[in-house]
Amino acid sequence: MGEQWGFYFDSEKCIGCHACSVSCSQRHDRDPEKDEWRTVKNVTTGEFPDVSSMPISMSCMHCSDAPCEKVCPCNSIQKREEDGIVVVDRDSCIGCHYCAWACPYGAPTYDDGGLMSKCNLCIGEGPGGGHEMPPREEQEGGGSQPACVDNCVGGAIEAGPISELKDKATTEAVEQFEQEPANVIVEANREENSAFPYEA
Amino acid sequence: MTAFGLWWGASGKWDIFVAIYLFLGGISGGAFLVASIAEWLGERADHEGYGFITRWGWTLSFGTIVVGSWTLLAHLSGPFLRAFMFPVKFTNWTSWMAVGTWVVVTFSLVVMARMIWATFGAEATDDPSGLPRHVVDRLGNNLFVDWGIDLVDWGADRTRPTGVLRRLVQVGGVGLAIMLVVYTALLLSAVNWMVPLWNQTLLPPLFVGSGFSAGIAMVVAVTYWQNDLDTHLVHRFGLLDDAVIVAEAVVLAALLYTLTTGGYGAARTLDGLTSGFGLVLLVGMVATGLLLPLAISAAQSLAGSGSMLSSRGVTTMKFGLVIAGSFLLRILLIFTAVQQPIIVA
Repeated sequence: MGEQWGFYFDSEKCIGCHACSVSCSQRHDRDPEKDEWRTVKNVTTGEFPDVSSMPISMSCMHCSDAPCEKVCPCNSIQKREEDGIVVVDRDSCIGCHYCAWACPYGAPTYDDGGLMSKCNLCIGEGPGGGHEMPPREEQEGGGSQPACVDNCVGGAIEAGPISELKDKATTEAVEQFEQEPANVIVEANREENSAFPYEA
Repeated sequence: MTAFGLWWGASGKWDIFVAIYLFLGGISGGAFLVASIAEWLGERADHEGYGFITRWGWTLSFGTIVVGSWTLLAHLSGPFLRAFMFPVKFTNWTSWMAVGTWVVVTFSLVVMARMIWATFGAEATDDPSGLPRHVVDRLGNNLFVDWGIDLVDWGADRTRPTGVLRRLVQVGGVGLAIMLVVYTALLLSAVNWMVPLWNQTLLPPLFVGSGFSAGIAMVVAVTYWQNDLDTHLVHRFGLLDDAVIVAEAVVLAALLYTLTTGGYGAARTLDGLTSGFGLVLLVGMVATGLLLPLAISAAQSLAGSGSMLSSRGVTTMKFGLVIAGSFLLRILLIFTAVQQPIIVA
């Protein structure tokens, strides 16, 4: 198995500008009016009067133990051995929406034809562009940066092999990452980094 | 002070067709079980009513699973024809949807065979009561139809199993019917870690109870009207239905109780079930499917067999309420289900 790729997200650098989601839609020919493969939301924490709002940018997290892959009846969703990217074979998808129930991040989206599409870490453009593509390469090797990483104005999102992302992250974020199934390292709140991205 | 925020995902991932499918799958399995029970009792007691119930049981079971399979296909938003490629496409055995498809197909073949063996052939020709026999008989005076019926009659008599094989078909069919109903529950509860309402332990017995109860109601009500079923048999099956409804109520109460300790997703589900549309649905389902049928049964017992309350109309209404409650249960489980939120710290 090749080295797994994932995302790194630092909420303190995120200004909630939606450049990531818009650029994602543009690169993959999605509806720019909607946050689809990548979503940005302001999550409110605290209670009045001590309230704060934190912008969070989310997409498919390419889970190490992808639950969408397990429930898909047609094996249309595959976690690639070579780079851990979860891709969709839209030629076999039947549009049953079972993956939407299984995904903890709300990543699957369904277009007018009813087929599922989601973030493919920009290994290909357009829906289903990730299926049967060669292994992900870093920029130095000729690979492209994911659109969200390229266009993030604050440098809040990065993508790459997990070992490289770990080197950039704080110890707390790495420890949190080790406990989660998702391939995302999150710098959330450095004072109280306890439960993101997901706690059942 | 709350030190975190919650990110709730979008709801409404499945439409009404899934609820209808789950309902029809349950009632089909239930009708098969009722037919099996009636067949077993009929072998031990010389009463034609068991034969009527058995025939109607297979027929209604087949009809509901055929319509249910269509609704299953109708909910798919992808290219329709791809679903028909399931023997080739559905290869992920960790998915209950793939496993369940084969259960549905196998069950459909078995129930179709049982229906044909029970309603075609020399024996059925002598006594043409029960569908589809008396319907196809009305299609007579057409050479092609007559030839087709003769062919099925001939085939039924030559393929109807006897002895040990017959017993194997009986037992295997019951196993498949239970698997069918249980699978419709497991389809949901497989993602219980994301959807607290779809409890892995409680949903299968709840679906079996609901499907069996609705199956009894449907088969006995139809047989009551079509074959003027003996009121004694209607009463016996009605009591069985009441017992199943009581057990179903206990499981439903336990399911709702689990929502009090299931985290944020469970708490939000409970909020939804205790206010607005969710509350109307819950109260409607409990009243329609559980309380009113039991109240009618109790009133019938108190009033005695000669009263208006024990009339065929009231009994049919009770069975109708049971069926409606079973459908509302599926609506409730699909449309009030909430996914766990992402916790942002």
